[in-house]
Amino acid sequence: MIRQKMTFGLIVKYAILIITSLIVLFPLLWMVSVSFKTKLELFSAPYSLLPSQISLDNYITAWGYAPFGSYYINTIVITFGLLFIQMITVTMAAFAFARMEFPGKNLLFMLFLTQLMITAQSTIYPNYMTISRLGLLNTRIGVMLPYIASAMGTFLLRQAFMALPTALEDAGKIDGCNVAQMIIHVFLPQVQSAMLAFAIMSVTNHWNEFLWPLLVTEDAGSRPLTVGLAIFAQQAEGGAEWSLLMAATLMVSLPLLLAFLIFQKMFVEAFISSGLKG
Amino acid sequence: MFTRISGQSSFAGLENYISMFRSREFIEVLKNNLIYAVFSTIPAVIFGLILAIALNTRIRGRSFYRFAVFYPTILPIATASMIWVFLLSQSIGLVNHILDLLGITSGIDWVNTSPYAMISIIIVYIWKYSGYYMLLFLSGLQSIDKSLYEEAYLEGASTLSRIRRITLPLLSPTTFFVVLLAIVNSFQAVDQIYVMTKGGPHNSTNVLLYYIYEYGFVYWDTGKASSASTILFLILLITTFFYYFGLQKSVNYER
Amino acid sequence: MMKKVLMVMLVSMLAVTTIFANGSSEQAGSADSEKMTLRFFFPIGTAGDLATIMTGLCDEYSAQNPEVEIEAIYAGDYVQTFQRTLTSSRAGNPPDVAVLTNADVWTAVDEGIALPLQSFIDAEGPDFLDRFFPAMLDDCKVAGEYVAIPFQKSTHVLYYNKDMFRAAGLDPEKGPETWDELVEYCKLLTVPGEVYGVEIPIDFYYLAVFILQNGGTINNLEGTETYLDSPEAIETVRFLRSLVEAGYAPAKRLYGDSSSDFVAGKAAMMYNSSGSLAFVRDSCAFDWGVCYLPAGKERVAPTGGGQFVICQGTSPERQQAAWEFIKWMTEPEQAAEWSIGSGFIAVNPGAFDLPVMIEYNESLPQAVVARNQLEYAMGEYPKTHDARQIAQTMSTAFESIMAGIVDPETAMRELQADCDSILSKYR
Repeated sequence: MIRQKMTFGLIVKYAILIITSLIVLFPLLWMVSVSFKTKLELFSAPYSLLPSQISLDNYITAWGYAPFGSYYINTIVITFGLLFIQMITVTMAAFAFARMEFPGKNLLFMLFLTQLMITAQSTIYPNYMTISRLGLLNTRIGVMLPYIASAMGTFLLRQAFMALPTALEDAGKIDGCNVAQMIIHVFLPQVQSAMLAFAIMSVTNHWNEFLWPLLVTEDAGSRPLTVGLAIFAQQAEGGAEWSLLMAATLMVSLPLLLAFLIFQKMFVEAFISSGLKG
Repeated sequence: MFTRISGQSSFAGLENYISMFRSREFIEVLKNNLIYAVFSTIPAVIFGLILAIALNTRIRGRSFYRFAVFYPTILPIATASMIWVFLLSQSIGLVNHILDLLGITSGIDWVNTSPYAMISIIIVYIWKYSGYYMLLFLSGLQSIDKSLYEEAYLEGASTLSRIRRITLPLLSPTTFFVVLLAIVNSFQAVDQIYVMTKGGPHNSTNVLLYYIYEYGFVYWDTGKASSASTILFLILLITTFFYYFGLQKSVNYER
Repeated sequence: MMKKVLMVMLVSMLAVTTIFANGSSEQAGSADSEKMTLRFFFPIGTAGDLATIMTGLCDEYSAQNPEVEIEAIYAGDYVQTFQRTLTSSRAGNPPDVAVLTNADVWTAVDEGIALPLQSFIDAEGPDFLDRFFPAMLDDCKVAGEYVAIPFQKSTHVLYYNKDMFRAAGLDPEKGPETWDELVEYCKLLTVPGEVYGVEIPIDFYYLAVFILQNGGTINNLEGTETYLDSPEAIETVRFLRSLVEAGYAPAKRLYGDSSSDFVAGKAAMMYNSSGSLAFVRDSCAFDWGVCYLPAGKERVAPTGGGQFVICQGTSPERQQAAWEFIKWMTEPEQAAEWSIGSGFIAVNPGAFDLPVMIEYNESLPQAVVARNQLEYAMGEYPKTHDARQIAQTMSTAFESIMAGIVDPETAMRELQADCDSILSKYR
């Protein structure tokens, strides 16, 4: 590494980083500040940086205005339930693509990967029709179904499996493992970091998903947080309940933000590996 | 192909396409989407690159900067858009207040007037994704051999010329992927439009996916929604094709 | 470390999924054969803890009528409530009752999911409909036939900042009476770059309101034709555009942003729903009042909101039970309770004589103005087939006129042509 003096270049770099960080961070800070203000305060002194008092009233009111409790449960079930199913499908697919030979493998893999770019987001309409025919509208399963096979996860795991030495497989065979045992006992323990990266990506994506659940869910029984919040915000004829809205927004975003704050390194790794290699 | 799924028999779909391409609205939607793709992708990628270069130094507080710039990526965009609607409010929004204090302009009606509505959703895109692209560039940068820089440094090359001569050329595969990813992201934008503008004012922020949503789920016009879905599908398919083409090549190159 | 994190994640996921995976699958019809469970989809169109009030009302009904249970299902905003009603009906599992906005009532009839109500009304006797404000019944008819019953209705009034009126030398107890006065007031109240004289929500609803005030018509009774390029309509948008050109009004606002500008002292007057009364009361640091909407050639007070629809595809017994429930919900006591909780106007004039309502009106005297204005009330337009699409087309055209992108006459001609092509299939 080069010795660092306080060169002009370095000063510019610091300036860029500090200014950008402040700008990007500001909306979050502002949201926190507004969420504590009363309506009266918000409209009479809209630009004061700190609220005059810290009160949780907005949070309590927002919680009561919409069934956020059910929304939380739905989001958690959808996100983690999906991750669980994906872990199974992705492992099997990745293993097949990485370690088995069958005709048409490459073509199949290409087709599979198309899903990386053409996400369920862009095929909402046909997907909606399918879910509707299956009678799965307004169920959590309906929200999850288009995502149960993940191309990104398959790709990540396939890469990880391929990087493992063939000796591993041979050792497994000698011990008399069948394929399932081999995957579980021999291969999976070796690819934990790829699994974790995928898990983080999957959870982040599905926690934040909006349009698809907006369409297929119809009430608090299956509706996740993001959709619940948007509906809460769009109550057409009411006033502009900004402070309530900011409190609700924070309630929705907090779990992931906290997770990111604590596991920053893992998140960063996950996003890098899924973005570039996949 | 989608018309069949949606329940229409035979090839009645063709009429849908013709009438769609004849409608002013749809052409406008395509144009908007193109504008959005170009003007959100370019700045977000450039910002990402600049930030990555700045961060790829031994610098104090790295993880703070990384958190500050990257956190919007993990926020739901529907939620993030709500913060921005408030920040961009003409009368009580902070953005106008600051612009006013700095004496730049005053009283822009961001989400309600054209072209500012489009600029607003572009700002949100840049805010949301720059940090992500930064991260991708950063990992690209870290794979560049440090000794190249040492050499250039000893030769007395300035920071800028090192960036131009070493960083940019060696980073070009990463740039290629990031740009494609950014384009794909821009065609899948809909959450911020649903929350911020509903495609308005006068259709100026209506993009393809929002159009599909509106025809499919507000007007219940099966034909139009299916045809527009196919168009979007084709656009993404073409982009994806380039992506894999590049992927295949770069993998060969590395190994 | 990594291994532990993974294990914990996997185990907790497994637990969560097995417990909840089937939690949301829908149960059609109750297993309890003694009791009839009516499914009721309702939207929430205003802010507030309305779901609780609604559930309370339904529980009360179930308690009074042991043979029926009302399952109140909060389905989101109006668009989502209709989406859900439509998809459930198509899937053969319609709700018994749904609250729909006027535009969707038309689509519900087009889709064949709304039950005609004339026979129920006839069975109640000739003066049954007198229990409603007549204007509210406008939105209950499709092509002249009753298919809905009023439930949550709002009207729109002009809100004004009395402090600003005083500062400008205007009488704080009197708002502008006519369009001409509106312009004069704006001249006095506008502070360029600081305060707009007036803010008007720019959407189909207000486009229709202003055209009606100017003596125009929006569509024919059958809902197959619009008249948006009439001289009255073109004159109307010219007038509105002139407010923007003079700097009196912004080119675009919707309901929420107007309220927020008004209470922040950035707009001296605003057109807005009576549903915003409570919000304005709680957020204003200044003295404010409301008055009737200024009259053009005619005085027109618009109404909006939702009405009850009974769905097709259920048994006659269920339909009759649904009708009884609707009747109960629109009686004075219930109308008053819902009005006080939600800010909507009670649909039953009898509600206004109840002590609770009198008390409420004393606490929010501005609400009385809204009620009195109903004398001039008209329903919500457009009343056509494909009303959502017509409405969106109108909003888009209105926005481009107000932004000065297209000149009013051309824009209205194009708008009429677009509406013609949408409606041609119904002629």
